[in-house]
Amino acid sequence: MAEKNNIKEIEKLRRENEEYKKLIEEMSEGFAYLEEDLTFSFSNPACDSVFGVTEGKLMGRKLTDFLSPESLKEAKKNIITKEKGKKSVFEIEVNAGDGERRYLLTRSNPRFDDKGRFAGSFVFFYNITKRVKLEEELIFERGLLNSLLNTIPDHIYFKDEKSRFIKVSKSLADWFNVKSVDGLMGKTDFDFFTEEHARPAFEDEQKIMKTGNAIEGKVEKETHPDGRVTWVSTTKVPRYDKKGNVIGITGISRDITEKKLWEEEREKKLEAQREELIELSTPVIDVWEGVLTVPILGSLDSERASRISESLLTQIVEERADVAIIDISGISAVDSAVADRLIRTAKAVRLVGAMAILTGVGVEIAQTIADLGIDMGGLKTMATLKDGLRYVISRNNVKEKED
Amino acid sequence: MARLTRMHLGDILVVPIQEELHDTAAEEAGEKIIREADNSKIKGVAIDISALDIVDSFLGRLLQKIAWGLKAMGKEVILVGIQPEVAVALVELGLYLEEINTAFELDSALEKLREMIKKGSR
Repeated sequence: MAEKNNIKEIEKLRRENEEYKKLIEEMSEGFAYLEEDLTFSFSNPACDSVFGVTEGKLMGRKLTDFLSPESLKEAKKNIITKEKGKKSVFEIEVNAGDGERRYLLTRSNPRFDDKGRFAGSFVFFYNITKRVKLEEELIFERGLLNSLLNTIPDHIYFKDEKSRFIKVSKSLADWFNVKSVDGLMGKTDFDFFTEEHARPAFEDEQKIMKTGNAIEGKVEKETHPDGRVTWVSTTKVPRYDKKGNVIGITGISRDITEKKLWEEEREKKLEAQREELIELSTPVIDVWEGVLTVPILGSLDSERASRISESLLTQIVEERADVAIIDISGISAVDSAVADRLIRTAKAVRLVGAMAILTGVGVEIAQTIADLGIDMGGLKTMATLKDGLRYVISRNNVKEKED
Repeated sequence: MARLTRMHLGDILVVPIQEELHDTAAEEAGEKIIREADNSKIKGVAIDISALDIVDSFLGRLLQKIAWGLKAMGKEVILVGIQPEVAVALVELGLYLEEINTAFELDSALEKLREMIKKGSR
């Protein structure tokens, strides 16, 4: 009976032993027993796998074969111990047998013999390669971001939903004459610009966050508290969290002050040239005592017509001229608008106290005028400039005789 | 209202308008000119507006009315010293004042006016 019981007991122990073995073999964590010289004397399949060797081939090999010098130091320090019950957790880098590099989180439970000497260790290995790689990637990306923020001359900034700076490039801190980018944290445009720029910029950002519509390449005039004015080309986009809620804006502004000034300078030059051209194209010639002539060439638009009027009238008054001959023989086309302008000019000439004569009214123009039914309003017209001059001179002669 | 200066030079009445006149002041001035001219000695009137840089449509029409009134009374009229800007403005307003004679300055205006009076009395 006792024997039977004994057999049962043995059977039970054997089963339990099988169960434990199975458990260890099926565990997803690596488990091994290391001798005091760090030789594997037992390893489960998961452990063989993380070390990149065929199942069962880890036994007899040393942990030190797989480690980089740095990890080796770390492993020795943590595994070999005199302290009883000291469990240690640490990370090692493994050059696995299959050529892969793996990071293992390692937990060591030291064992001791009867005399209290270190006799090896139960060790668990957790594969944390993914996490470490992710961290490395993050560090790498952070490096990229930092190089962007520290070296790119364009002003880069991240703002929260209240348009407060949460991260900025060094160039922006420099732009504001602030020593460190930390000096900008939590501040807004209102702290660095006058209302004239800060207000519209703030409103732009709030609108971007409300509508989700970015602004691109907007030319902005920046007004600084010290009176300095700068120009930037700005792009701002909304920034979202994982759930898709707007949490702020990301922006980049490029200094275009120099370009803007150059453009303004060019614009001024162009304007000056244009004016010069107009002056040149409307010469008022003092041909005779008290007689002015304006030969009009090319086309006559309203701007040119009003300039001609202006310079002719001013000169009439200055020169005390009593006759102004407007010669239109060089004009390309006469339509009702042009005829109307010419007549208005002639009438204004009369109002300031001189007489206007329209010359160069050829057959074609005369016909146009007749066809358009324009009333020349008692305006004196002559076929050619010569006729006009002859008329004026003979009139003067009569006057002189009278005197 | 500022006083309206009026000068008699023989048979000619000279009225220099020194400042912009608005509404009632302008109308009063117009009346004064016509009343002053209503005198058999006066044959011609010279209205000098060289001091005016701006003439609005109201004043433009008033000048026209005064001229018509004076003409109806058999007086010769001449407008003196219309500035270039004023001339342009009047033309833009469509006030060509065609039946009124013009001159740059008082000197030539008086000369023209005397000529007109001589012709008229012939």
